[in-house]
Order: sequence, then C-alpha cells, then structure tokens
Amino acid sequence: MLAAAGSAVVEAGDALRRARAPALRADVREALASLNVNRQRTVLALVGLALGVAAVTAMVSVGATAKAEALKRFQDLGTETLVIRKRPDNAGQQRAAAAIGAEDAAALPAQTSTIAAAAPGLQVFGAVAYGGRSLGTRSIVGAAEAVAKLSKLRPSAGRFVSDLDMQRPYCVVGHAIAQAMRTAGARRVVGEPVTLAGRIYTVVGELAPTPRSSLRPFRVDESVFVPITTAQRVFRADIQFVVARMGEGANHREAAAEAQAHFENRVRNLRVAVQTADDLIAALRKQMRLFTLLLAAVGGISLVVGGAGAMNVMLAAVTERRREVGVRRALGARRRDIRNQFLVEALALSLAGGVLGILLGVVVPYAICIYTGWSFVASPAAMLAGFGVATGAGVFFGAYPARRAAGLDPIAALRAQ
Amino acid sequence: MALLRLGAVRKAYAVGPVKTEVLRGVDLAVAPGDMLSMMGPSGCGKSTLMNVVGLLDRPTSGSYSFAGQEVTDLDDDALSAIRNLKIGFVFQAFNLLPRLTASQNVGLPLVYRGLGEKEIRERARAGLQRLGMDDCGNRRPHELSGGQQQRVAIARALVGEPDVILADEPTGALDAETGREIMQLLIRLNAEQRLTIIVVTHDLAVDRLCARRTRIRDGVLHEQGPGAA
Repeated sequence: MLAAAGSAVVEAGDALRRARAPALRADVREALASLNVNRQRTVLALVGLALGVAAVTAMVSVGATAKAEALKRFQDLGTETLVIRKRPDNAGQQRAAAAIGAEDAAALPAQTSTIAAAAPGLQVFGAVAYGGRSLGTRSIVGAAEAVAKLSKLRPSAGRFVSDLDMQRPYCVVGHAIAQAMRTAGARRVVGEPVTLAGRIYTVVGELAPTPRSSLRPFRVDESVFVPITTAQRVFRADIQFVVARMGEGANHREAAAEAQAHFENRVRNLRVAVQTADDLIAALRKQMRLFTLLLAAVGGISLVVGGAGAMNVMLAAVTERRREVGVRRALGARRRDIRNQFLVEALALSLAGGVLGILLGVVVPYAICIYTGWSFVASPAAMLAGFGVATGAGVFFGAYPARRAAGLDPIAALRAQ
Repeated sequence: MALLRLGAVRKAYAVGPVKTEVLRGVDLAVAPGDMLSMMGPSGCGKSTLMNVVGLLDRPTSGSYSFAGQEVTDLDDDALSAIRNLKIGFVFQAFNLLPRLTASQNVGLPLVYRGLGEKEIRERARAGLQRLGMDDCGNRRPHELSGGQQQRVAIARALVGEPDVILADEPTGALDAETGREIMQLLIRLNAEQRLTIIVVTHDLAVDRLCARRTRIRDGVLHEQGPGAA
C-alpha cells in the first residue's frame, strides 16, 4: 500500500510539474496589495517610469504626426510643384537690372526638359476697403491665369482672373477676405466693388478655403488676386515668383537646377532660389528629428532612473519579505512560482507607470501640435510602443530582484525576521 | 512499512574552514498514524533534522525514503511538489502571511496546486470550520490571538490533506493554557484521523503528550521507552 503511495507521490509530482498554473490572479492581487503597502517608494518609482514611457510614446506620436502633416501638405498640392523666387538684390545693383522677365517665365517649359508648366506672379500689400469700411492692409497678388491651376486654387463662386482681363480692374478674393466683406455687410461677394490701394475693382470670383503651404508663395485665404498685368502697371512691381510644375518622372534636384540656370543665365545679376517639395520635406524632417532626439534623450534618462527606482522597490520588497518567501517555499512554491510572483509585481509597477506615461505621452504631442499649428494624430503605434517599453522595463528591472527572491534558501528565509 | 525512513543520515555545515557535523547518523522509521516527539536542548540538531525530514534541506549522506520513494536525489521542483502534496508545516511563529486573510492563508498551499479560486475558497472555509474558526475567515493575522493564529496555521497545514504534519515548537510562542489546547487539537487529529504527526520541542510537557518519544543528543536520535522522563 505504501509502495503504491510512493509511486503516487512521483505521479502527483509529475502531474504538478506539467499542470501547475502560476496562479496568476492571486499573484496580481497580491502584487497590487504589496505595492500599496510601500506607497511612497512606489510613487517615486512610478514617476520615473511614467516620464520614460511618456517620452517614448510622445516620440512615436510626434513621428506619426509629422508624417501626417507632410502628407496633408502635399495632398492637395502634389509634390511636383516648385516655386522659383527672386532673391533680394545685392547692394548697389539696380532693381530693374535684375528682374524675372515675363517672357522668360513663359519660356521656361519650352526651354527646359523637366518643367511642364509655369506661371508668374507678384505680391504687394495695400489697403483693402469695402462699402466704405476698411478691411485692413492685405496681400494683393498679381497672378497669371495659370497660377490658379498650378497652385490648385478653386473658385467657390465666379472665376479666377484671366489673362484676357488684361489690365481691367477685376479681382478675385480669398476666403477670409470674402468673409470680411460679408461681415462688412455684403450679401453677395461676386459682382461687388472693392477698393484696393485707392482704386475700385470688381470682384469676379471667390476662392474656396485653401490650406497654407510653402509651395504657394502667398496665403490664399488672406489675399486678393488681380490680373498680373494690372498689378504690374498699377503697383509698378516686377515679377517676384514663378509657380511651376515638373514633367512626369522628373527629378526634383534636376528640375530645380534647370530652372535656376534658366533664369540666372538670361538676366545678368539675377539670383533666384528654387524650392521643391523635397526641400520642404527635408526641413520638416529636420524639425521633427530635433523633437525626436530631445524626447529620446529624456525618455532614455527617465527610463534608467525610473527603472533603477523600480528595481530598488523590488529589491526592498524581496528583503522585507524573505520570511514570506520561506513560508511559501515550505508550502510547496517552486523557485519559479516565487520568481513569477515578484516579476508580476514588477510588471504591475511598470505597467501602472506605463499607463500614466501613455497618458502623458499623448498630452505632450498634443501640446506640441497646438504650439506648431500641426494637426494632432492619435497614434495607436505610439501607445503600443509605450506599452512595450513599460513591459520591457518591468521585465528587465524586475528580473534580478525576482531571481534573487527565487534563489533564497528556504531555511534561511524562514529564519529571517 | 514506514511512511518515512531515514538511514544513517548525516548533515554537515562548513563555516569557513571549520566543518561542523550536526547530524551524525540518524536512523528513524515513522509509521502511518505515529504521534512522535523529537526533543532535545537547543543546538542539538533538531531543527536541522526537521528541515531534512520536511524536505527543506538535503542530508550530506545517508538515505531518506518518503512513502517508499528515495527522495535524496530529487530535484528542487520535485521536493517542492512533495512538500505541497504530502507535508503540512506548523511553525513556532505561526508564519501566517500578514497581508492575507485567515482564509487566504489557509488556501495558500492549494494555490500552488493550480486549483481554481472557487475550490480553494471552499476548501479553506471547510478547513477553518473543522477547527471551529468559521468566524475568522476574513480577518487578518494581526486581528487574531496567538492561539487563533496557530489554529489557522494548523488549518493551513491540513488543507492539502497531507500524509504527515511537521510541527516545529508549535506551542513555543503560546501561553501554557493555549499551548495545551493546541497540543490537544493535534492529539485529537492524530487519534481521529490517524494523521501522522511529528512534533519538535524542548518542552517536556509537550513531549509527554506524544505516544512515541525520541531524544536527540549529539546529532543522534534515541528512542525513549514509554513512561521514561
């Protein structure tokens, strides 16, 4: 009978080895209770962990926001657009000697292999009034008809200025100007007279709201557009920029070089700068990289500090609870049961820090977005990253204390006070 | 046949260059249903023997078979499993976990068997009831008297239906009256359920209550005849 009992021991032992679950629920419950006991120490460790996780979450989130922002900027305009601007003259040279010529602008597509279309424009600032009320000093853009197409300007009523308008006093108003006119009492906008720098123009069109972009050399919503010939005559201004579109498959750098050479070779002393989508994306990236680096530094330092704090909490817990470890071992806990118990506790600590951190890591990018005017993108990847970092920190900084607890000699542990 | 059989068990500790032999050839056979005392002055090696018998420590040499199986060469996990399934510990200092309720303390050995929470709760409740402690299930150890704590500890030792109870100075932290009650409880369990109980003590009053009495002297176990002092 006892021999049978003996083999029963072996069988039972084998069964336990296979089937014994780590009693996770009990572990979690006890972990929370024990963290609650050492509240002050726990809170200190939490702050560090939360900062670290927040920085990582924010880092990923900023990346996602930047990507979305870049996409948004080029979604409506396309990445084939480029802008050629006249650079300020060098001192002592006459303005007239170095201007972009209308013919040269018109010849750009024909004279280069990479540019498919081009249209010139200029911008001045002048007083705008409607119905006897001032609408303030506004941007007045003289634009060739093709600017509308190249810069993707869409009339919501009426039409854009035409090359056939020649020097007629017609104008097209941006969305914000139209709104200002309505505030000033206009029932309709198209057909109404407005005063630009003392002369009366008739509004022939109103533009739909248009997002800002560096590839539009003017703020569309806040501008009044007049035929470029009118602007040149009335304001005695030169062409300041040319909006162009590359041919299909053209390379940004080649197109920029060709356009620059085209203008600089034709007019002595003329210097132009060409901006492409590539330049903008690069600038955007550079700005983002700065944020990312900063966050990575903060995140790295915080994680180490928070992790060290978490490890300290766990080491103290192991020391304080040596006797408990001894009792549990006597009652049949295996080394790995003890190890798991303390690991779960470390994980509970770092996941709590993680949740706080993820919250923080969403708020911080949100603040950055408000500051920079970008639109905020809630990034699930960022939250996942934060969660991952928290779990990683928990396992990494909890592993050593947990192993120490598991390795305790049960007899010595039982004797501990 | 014996439930536990120790043959020529020796245990030596090396403290620096000094080697101390605490057990010097212990022979012992414990039959099912024995109520056995191990008595001796402090430092005689009875704690070490208790640890070896309880599978918390391994002998340096000698043999130990538990329910017919040699256990000296089992790995740590297997020893943990046997402690969990076959042995119930009762300590001098009760050793209840302070953050757990009495009921949770009683259920603790079953947690390491991977049983479901509901079954553990039910068995812990039944265990406390058996010792007349039904009302104390939701209290924490610091809310209980010493005698109550030791009863909870005994309930914990019994909950897994072990083959043997190892009680290390079970009355050592209690007043004489409460100590007697705890001993009466152990004797009743032994008598009614034929539960094998080994009591380590240095208290002659406790020793006298046991049917079979042994003495440890200089690391060797001596059987006492009935009626001896």
